Amino acid sequence: MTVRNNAMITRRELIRRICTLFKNNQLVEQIDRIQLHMRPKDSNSFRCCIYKDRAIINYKIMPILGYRVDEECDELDPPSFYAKMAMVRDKPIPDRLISVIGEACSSCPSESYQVTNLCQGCEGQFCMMNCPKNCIEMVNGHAIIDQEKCVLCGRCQSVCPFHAIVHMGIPCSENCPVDAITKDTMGKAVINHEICIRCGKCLDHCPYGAITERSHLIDVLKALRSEETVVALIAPALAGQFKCTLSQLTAAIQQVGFDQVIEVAEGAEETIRLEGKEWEHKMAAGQKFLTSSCCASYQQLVARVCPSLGEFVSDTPSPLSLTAGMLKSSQNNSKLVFISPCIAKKLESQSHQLTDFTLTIEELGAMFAAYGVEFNTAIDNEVQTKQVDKSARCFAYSGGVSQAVGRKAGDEFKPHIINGLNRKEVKWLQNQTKAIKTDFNFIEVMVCEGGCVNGCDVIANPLAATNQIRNIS
Amino acid sequence: MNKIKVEISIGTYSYIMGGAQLLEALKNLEPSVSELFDLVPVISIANCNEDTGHKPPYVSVNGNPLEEATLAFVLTAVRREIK
Repeated sequence: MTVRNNAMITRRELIRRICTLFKNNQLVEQIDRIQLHMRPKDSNSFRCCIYKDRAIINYKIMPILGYRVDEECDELDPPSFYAKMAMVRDKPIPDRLISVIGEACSSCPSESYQVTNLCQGCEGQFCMMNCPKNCIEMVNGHAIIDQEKCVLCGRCQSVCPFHAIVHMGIPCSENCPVDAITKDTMGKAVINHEICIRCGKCLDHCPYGAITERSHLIDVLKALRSEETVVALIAPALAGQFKCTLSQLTAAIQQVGFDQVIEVAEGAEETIRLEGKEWEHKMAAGQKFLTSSCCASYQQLVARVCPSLGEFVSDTPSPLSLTAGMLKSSQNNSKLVFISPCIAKKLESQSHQLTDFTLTIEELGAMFAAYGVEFNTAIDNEVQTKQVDKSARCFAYSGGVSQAVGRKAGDEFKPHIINGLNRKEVKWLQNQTKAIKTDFNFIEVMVCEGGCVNGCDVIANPLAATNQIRNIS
Repeated sequence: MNKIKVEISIGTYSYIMGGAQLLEALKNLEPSVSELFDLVPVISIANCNEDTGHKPPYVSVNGNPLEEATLAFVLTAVRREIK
């Protein structure tokens, strides 16, 4: 999430407070008081009253402790009940990651077009004259839309010369590229997990913070406190998230307790080499095009929504898969923690058992704050980051994979880049499988606009993050 | 006329609680607005931290601290200094 909003602030403050309590050995004893500290008496509430805000804060604590809201045992169980369970479990629950807090979902009104009071009731009556369903009439010099007849084509909005007609969307479902969100009878958001591609766009866009992600935070904190060696495996996108050098970032990660920091980009060099070879081989065999495979959400799209694309997806393992594989064989007794920019990558790591745990970039930032680690002053002379080729970090931003693979593949390589997936792009992708001829032979798909630097769990502005990554020598 | 000094905290707590976005927003203002002040990222702003009950992101405009700073708050404080 890169647009500042209070739902994001609440989530980060909750993560920070939970880390602080853990650090001070007060998690179970003090966690029930978080709601009171964050919404004290006489403070402003975001909902009807502070009591509802407090109840929702308790629900928002559940996924941070690693439990989905629909796993609630008893409505009267306080956060300390889940904190106790989290403290004694052996490993994170390997089940669905996303859930909706029904109490926090505001049951946004159904999608519609509404005429605002900017309507001048003009002589032109563009809206009325151009409505294909004849559902607009003028009443007392003001356009009125008959919502029963309206088919949501948006024609009235596009022709109004005063921009008086607005589109009221439902933020979660409007941004879902695969139409996986519907409403229940109470109007609350319901995710169809059969087709959900775990892109996290709903989580990013819900203005109430009602869509949540199951966290491994407590499991990571426990591992860091144990005697075991804990290795942080950092996604290429992380290199652009904090205003500091890579060695400062590495030192900061070690200050919160990690024993070693490895860049996923180490494996990216091999991915680039293998993907270039695969492309050459498949083009020689007469395949129309190859699509990238590193975006885990795109992999989900192919598996769940567009199986016809399957034969065009690259078989080359992702940088995460290769790097984690190398580490697993060399560091048998270590715990591996992937620092991820999004839910989809967390799912990739979890479902293929690439790492033991996943921490989001947002959670890492909140951990720094809780442990008093200033990333831009963290200096450790002993910190040595392995030299990684600059192009290997290109997986973090849109266009980077094509650029790197293209350098290996040569002049015949003609990429098409999907920079941010929406429903229109999904249809376009499906059509390409039937196309007889295409003017490209490689499709790079980044489900998030800008790439992983704009995943649902990042901190920095994606453009600033991209520039920072590009400038790392 | 002396330029106004806008210090923005890029200390970890401030940075993750919206300071990252605020910094970029202040960097990318129209030249006619951005030329009014010097933007200085700092680690901490005097008297602005969790212990003093202040909420991030922290900004200081000519030494006057702001908490829960937004772009609008900062620009209002800059205009106040100009007057």
